[in-house]
Amino acid sequence: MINFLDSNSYDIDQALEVENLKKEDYQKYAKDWVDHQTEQS
Amino acid sequence: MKLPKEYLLSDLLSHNVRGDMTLSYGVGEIVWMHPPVHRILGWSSKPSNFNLQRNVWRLNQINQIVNNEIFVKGEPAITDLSVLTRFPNLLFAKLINSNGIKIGIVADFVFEFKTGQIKYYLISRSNPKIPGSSRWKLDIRSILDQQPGLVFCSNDSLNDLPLLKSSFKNEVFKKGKVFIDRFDDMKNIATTKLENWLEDENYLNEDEEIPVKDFPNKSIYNEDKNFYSDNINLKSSNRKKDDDPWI
Repeated sequence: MINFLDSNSYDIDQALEVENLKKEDYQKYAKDWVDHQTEQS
Repeated sequence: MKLPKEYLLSDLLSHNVRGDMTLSYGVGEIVWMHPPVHRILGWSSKPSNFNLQRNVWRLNQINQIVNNEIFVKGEPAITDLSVLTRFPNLLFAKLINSNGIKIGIVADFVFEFKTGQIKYYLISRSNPKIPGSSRWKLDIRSILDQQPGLVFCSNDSLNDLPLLKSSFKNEVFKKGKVFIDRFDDMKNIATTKLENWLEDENYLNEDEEIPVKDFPNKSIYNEDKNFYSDNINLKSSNRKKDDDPWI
């Protein structure tokens, strides 16, 4: 799903330059979001 | 070139993206954000209308903004439109008030360029794509929760939020109201002045007697003309009669 986040040319950690916010946090949140969307539909 | 401190998302998406070699990557399309911390991470651009492939850019890849173009450094990440549309995004989400009623739609937001921190959201009452519609400011602290397609806030109605941009309809309504109010004020002032004037002059006092000596016994017109005068010059009238060839 989050293919572009895992791409070598893309450094998500740089984009998420926020305290206590890591790539894994975002990926988990995004996965839950998509699951919720799927449940709703 | 220095980047602006704060920026509107819709402005970011309306720009064409250009690379180092002035290669065009197309116009912006979808925002990439992280809703729980209200941060924009980047955005995607659409290189072609006939291609579902999208270029994703981080916010810190922006080099400079010149006129309608954003110059970026580095390469984009490539993904599909179907992936991007499923990502967490609060744009076009329905805004739900404390009573569970929809009061608006999240139309836009203002963010800080340096950190990606969203300062506040802009709310529209109806479809945000309608040009010239109003925008209300939603403070991040008012947001209680969010989920796909829904944002819950602590406010009751849009009237509780500050109006940032008034629609054409609202402007006409407001200006029209000001004009009607002014007209009413003028009408009231004129009525009051007229009433005061009539009271002062006693023009409507029917009991008051006007002495006969006060009536003029002469016309206000020149005597030579003899029009409507009490002292009509008959000689002049007779002479005219004599000179008349038809009699």
